[in-house]
Amino acid sequence: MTFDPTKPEADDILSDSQADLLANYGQQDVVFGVDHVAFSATEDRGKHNKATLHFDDAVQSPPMPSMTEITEYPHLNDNNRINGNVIYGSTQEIVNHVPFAIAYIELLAANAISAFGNSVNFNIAGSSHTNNTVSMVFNVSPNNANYQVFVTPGTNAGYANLGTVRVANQTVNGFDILGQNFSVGTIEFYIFVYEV
Amino acid sequence: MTIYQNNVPQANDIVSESQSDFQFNHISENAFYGFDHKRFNDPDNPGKHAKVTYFDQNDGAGGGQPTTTNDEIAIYAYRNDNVITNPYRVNLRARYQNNVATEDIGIAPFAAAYFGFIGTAAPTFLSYFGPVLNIDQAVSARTGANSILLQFLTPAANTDYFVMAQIESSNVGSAVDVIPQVTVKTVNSFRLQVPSAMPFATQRISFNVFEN
Repeated sequence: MTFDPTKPEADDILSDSQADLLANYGQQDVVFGVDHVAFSATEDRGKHNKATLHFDDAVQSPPMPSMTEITEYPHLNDNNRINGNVIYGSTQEIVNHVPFAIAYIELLAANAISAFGNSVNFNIAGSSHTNNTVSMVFNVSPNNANYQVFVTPGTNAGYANLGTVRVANQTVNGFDILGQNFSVGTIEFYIFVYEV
Repeated sequence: MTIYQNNVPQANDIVSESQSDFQFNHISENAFYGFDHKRFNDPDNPGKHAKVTYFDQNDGAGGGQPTTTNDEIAIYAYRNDNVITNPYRVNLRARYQNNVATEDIGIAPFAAAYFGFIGTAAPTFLSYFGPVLNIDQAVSARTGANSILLQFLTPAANTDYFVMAQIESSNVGSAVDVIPQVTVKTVNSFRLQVPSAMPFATQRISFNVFEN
């Protein structure tokens, strides 16, 4: 049974409406409790446990917050991927604030790549490397090639000179990381991708 | 009756007196809750959020920075104190708390861009391809062979912001060192600098700026 905002009716008597009222109170408690601490909890009532952003075609997207507001909302990209965006009310500027793809990779000698570390592997279908190029492939493509990529080298067990570490060849399918001595020792990279 | 009635029914009410209050409150609960959430009577996803709108807690009507306990994290909006208007800037922030300290950080970029260059001679204005957030495109420009000024539309609250920057360049084998460095941070602007000139027309830079 779903919440019924029309209860009680004007000509109801309490014995008629009691079940509806009871159901609505119960439903309010359950529904509010999906993302919040439920009304019926003994502590912290009304606070959020989480915020699940559910995309709905019927809801205007992006929303239009007022000047003193900022709104987080789910954005559906062309390839059926929900992204976390924010829109600033004063300027209606939009920015993706949840990375579209994340990877923590280890480059091993002999051009191998270790299993993605610590399960930090989001929307990356695969990768490979040579001595001067790491190729990353998305699982789900971004809308276009104008996404942002940030790469930070981590542990460099071989103490190799990596040269200029830079991003190259951005396409909707993936991108490359260029440098040198990628096949020397064990080298880590932290990678964050933000969609436009 | 125009606002939610939180003190009905009274003990001495009879149902015929309270029915309209009951019904109005049910309708109001459904509508008010439905502003950011899927409504109570949504058949598929009741209780989930459609979006989350954060009202400035540094506004007069706001409650100030949130108070959290050790087992909580609070996401909230807070206005940059430096500039009230032109444009008004509300930041999305998180407050972490543990037994040692309370920390607040910006969790959505305060400024962002993915840009390249129109030509090769300075001063050359920048060409933006991806997000452009809080950057004055009319002022930001290359100011030398290896220095790029990026000016905020709304200044940062202080100079303790941090910049995440990355070059994208397909010039394999180029002798040019193009790792961007952040220099000369002020509340109004910062510079991205490279050690030597680069062929700008074929290279792009991504950056995100987060307030501290």
